[in-house]
Amino acid sequence: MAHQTEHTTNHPSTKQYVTIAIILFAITIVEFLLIWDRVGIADDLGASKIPLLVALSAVKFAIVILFYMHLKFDNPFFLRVFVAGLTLAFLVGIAVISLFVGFEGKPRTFAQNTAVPYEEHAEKDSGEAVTGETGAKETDTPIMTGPVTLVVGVAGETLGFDTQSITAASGAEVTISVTNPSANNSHNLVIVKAGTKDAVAADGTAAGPTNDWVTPGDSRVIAHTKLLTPGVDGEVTFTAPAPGTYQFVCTFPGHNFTMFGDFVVN
Amino acid sequence: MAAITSVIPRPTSYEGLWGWMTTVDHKRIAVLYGVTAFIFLLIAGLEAGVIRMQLASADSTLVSPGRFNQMFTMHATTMVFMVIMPLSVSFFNFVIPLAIGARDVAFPRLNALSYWIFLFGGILLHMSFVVDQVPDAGWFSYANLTEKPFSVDRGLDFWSISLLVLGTSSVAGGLNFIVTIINMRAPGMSMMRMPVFVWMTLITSILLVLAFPVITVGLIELTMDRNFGTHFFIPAQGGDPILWQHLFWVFGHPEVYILILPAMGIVSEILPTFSRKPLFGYPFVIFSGIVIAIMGWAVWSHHMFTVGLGPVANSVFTITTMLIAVPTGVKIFNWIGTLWRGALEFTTPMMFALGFVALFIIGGLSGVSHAVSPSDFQQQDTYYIVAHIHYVLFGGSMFGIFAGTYYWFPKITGKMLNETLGKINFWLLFIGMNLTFFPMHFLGLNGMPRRIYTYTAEFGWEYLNQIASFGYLVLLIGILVFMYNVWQSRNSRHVGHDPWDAPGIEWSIASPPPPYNFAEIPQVLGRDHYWIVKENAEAAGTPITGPEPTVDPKSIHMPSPSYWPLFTAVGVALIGGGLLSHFALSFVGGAIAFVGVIGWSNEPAAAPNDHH
Amino acid sequence: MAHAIEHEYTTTGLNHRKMLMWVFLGSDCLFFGSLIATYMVYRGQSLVGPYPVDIINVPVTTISTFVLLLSSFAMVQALAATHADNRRAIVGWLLATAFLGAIFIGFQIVEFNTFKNEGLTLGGNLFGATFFTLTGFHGAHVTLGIIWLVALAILGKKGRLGPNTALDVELCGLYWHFVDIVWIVIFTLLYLIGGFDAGPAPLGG
Repeated sequence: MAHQTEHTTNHPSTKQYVTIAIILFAITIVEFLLIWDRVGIADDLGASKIPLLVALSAVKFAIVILFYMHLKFDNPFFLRVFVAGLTLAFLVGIAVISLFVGFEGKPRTFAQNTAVPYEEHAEKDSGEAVTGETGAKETDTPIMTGPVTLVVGVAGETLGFDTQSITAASGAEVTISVTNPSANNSHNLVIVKAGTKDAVAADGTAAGPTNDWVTPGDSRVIAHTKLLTPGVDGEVTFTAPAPGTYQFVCTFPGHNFTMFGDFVVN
Repeated sequence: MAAITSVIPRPTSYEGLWGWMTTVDHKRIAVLYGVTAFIFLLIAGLEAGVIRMQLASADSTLVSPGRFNQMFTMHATTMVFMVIMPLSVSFFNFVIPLAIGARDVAFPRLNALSYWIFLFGGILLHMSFVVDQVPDAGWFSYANLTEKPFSVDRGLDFWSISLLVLGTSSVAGGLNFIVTIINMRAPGMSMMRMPVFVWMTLITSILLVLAFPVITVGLIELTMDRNFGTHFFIPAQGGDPILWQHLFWVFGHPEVYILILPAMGIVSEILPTFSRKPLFGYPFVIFSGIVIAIMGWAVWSHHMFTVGLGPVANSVFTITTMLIAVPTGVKIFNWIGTLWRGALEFTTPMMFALGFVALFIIGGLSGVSHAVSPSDFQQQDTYYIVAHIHYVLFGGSMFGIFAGTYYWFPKITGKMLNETLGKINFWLLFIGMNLTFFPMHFLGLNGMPRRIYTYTAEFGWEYLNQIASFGYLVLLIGILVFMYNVWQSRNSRHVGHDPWDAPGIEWSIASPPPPYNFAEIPQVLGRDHYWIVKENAEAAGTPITGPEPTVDPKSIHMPSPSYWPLFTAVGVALIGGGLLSHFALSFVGGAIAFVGVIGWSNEPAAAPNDHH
Repeated sequence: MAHAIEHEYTTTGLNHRKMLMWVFLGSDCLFFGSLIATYMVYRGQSLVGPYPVDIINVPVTTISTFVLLLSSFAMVQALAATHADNRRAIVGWLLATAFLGAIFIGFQIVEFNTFKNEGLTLGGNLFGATFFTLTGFHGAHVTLGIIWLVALAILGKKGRLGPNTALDVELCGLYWHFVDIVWIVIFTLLYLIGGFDAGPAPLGG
């Protein structure tokens, strides 16, 4: 029976448990009010609500482990064991996320380049049919005539170009200037016929770096730069071919899966 | 539910096959682990043989390139997850309860479950040979080579599902040993009196339970990518293969310490015994072990220097990796300090322990050379790395395990392994190991890539490769000598309970130990308990001549055998097997595991009729 | 059985099974930590919709969050009843906990179905993959907890739970509350903060 009295003194009473439950509910309601746009606080707070939400959840988290899981009253050994696991999980998680996203928290360029809006969402919001995606893109890029220089950059250390689509007029003398800011990776830029980028790259792998990873005399290749070693920029000049959509791609082995874009000739 | 347990009577026999299948005795489970892992060692060794024979000459076509990929993948996976880890666990099982003065582990049935799941997980992986769809993407299976478009057959599914199953076993084992060590020490054994091997087991177990969940998530995501259409690691849908590398190495680096710390613990037991003086700087060895375990979580990206994390990340991980060499170096100095002015006895376990220290230093130094990220750019994925990993895992872990085998064999069986054969065994392994792996440093620096299928003679790699392949044959003979040594020991005479005049508590009881280990739980007097006991006895003029007296096993309340661990493990294995063949099988497995757990929890740890 | 265990000698004076449970929960932190890290790494990286803002329904999930919090309250009541040796209350609170857990799972099934109908699938985009994997494994933990609770309730019905065997209930409670706190984190990250994420805006769009 001594056992039992020990428990009643060490554990919260029913009344305290009810109070704790009410506090947990209240915090959850506050969290909900913070983000629910019909309340109107959400917009005023902007991004500052994120630390607020994290803090409120941390409070809930702590209340549950301290009271419901009795860590406040139990042997400190258990608290140490659990906090050790929790801290390690937190630190490793933060480290992995930082190594990925970078400390600025910007979405990576690749997703930005490639993302398309969700049709259903667009429909719901505008109440209209979605306009042709490609049409929207083309109007954004001015059509060039006459001799023209286009700039295509490699997006940092990611295996991607910073541009998804470039446009020129048929017959114009086009100079594509390529920047490679990467500290590690070599790249090139090859203009190829539509849909042939992977095949050209596969054959280029066999041609090797001495041929700039491009098969000499490949009929699918319109033009290409030299292989640009890390940090080196280069350019290629050629006459824009017949109107249509072509592709530009890096044929360094493996890069063709992520480093490509459309070259549109009007 | 209780009906299930009452219908099938509880096993009572300790004898025969059924006795082994239902055993919960940590010493028997240790033997099961040891024998099973040794069989896997032979399999992995034969796979290594295929690799060495293929590479022995230029332009060789002994096996197909696909088969070659399967060989190095299975060799490494088997060695890491099915040989070195379970051999270490075998020593945990045998030694830990004895070394802390306990009668068994905290959860004997959970311990049996760990073994059976390990066995079935290993069999599941090797079923891939039966259907000839063998994993072939290397032991760290980098995405997106492991994705469906590039690995069409089910080999990688075998790999990921079996590792998930094996992970369950490791985590269960880790949990068990943490509780055992923290909670079951004999009176007087404070944390700072625990033998170093017990400490290293504790640290290894903590790393196991913390690191395996991470790889579990990685494996689940890989399995989902391959079977349920997700794109976790597929760039075409925004996924990133680098995430796999992070998840793998966040686990993988602590895993490296999981592989080496037990061997360090074994060596820290053997060197003092045969130097006849206590371990030099015991607290430093312990704290350096703890520091390694903590810092081991902050170095994983040194496996990824060349993926382009950027100069900042590479610099940070270079620094943390250089720092973790410090506690490792501390240990080496402590071992050397232990030898200093000791009355060295060059027994076989001592030779292996010294071999460990020497080879581990070489492996450690080559490790430091690729901790420097610029130099790692040169060494990444070359044979230099292969040389490094084999110096630490073969020269390190395996030599530690051989040392432990020779050291504790008399305690396990009551019989000594032949010392002459043991020394032949040591020299063959030592010479063979250096012949095989030392040339790989030069091959790597000369540009031979890791995992290459064949090469042309113009590269100039043939000569060194031939030396390495010859070294393999020497290693093979060494292993055969070891097997013969174990085989012939059945005829050798029984040795006393304490053939080495050792300091550990385990040497105070009879060999082999009775089922209950200690008739009376000892009162621990100090770090080198049994040395103190023997000295005290000598001082009192009554030197110890025999083991602690044994008593009637029935008078001591021990956990009874149980078939539920085996039953539950069959269920878990079928869940995994079902994912590889037919989902219906998984449900059957789930049902079996469920019944197993219910039966288990309804069954008292010790049968009532055994009670007093 | 439990009687024997409670009087077992241990070095620290702490019970073996309770220590096992806490170490396991520490280990499970790493499991969910890795799943959450995967979600965070891929947050905003989906190339096609539906994006969270298109489908996440915060009010509904707030209700199911209340249900799970309430179940934790029922769980502590079950433990208190076990200490008080009130057999009816033990069974009642255990079943109440299991029932509330089942309602939570019901919400999750409805939610998964709705999302599927709105186009969110495992293979459709990264949001779908990370969302279903993370919440799915949490749901699996809840389901295991429900099975455990029902099994305990059956034991309670047979009169096998009381102050001497309170540890059986306490361990289940620890697991259950752990699942609850994991949900607190998931709710905050996936719903309150991440629930309004739209896809990354295409450049020039």
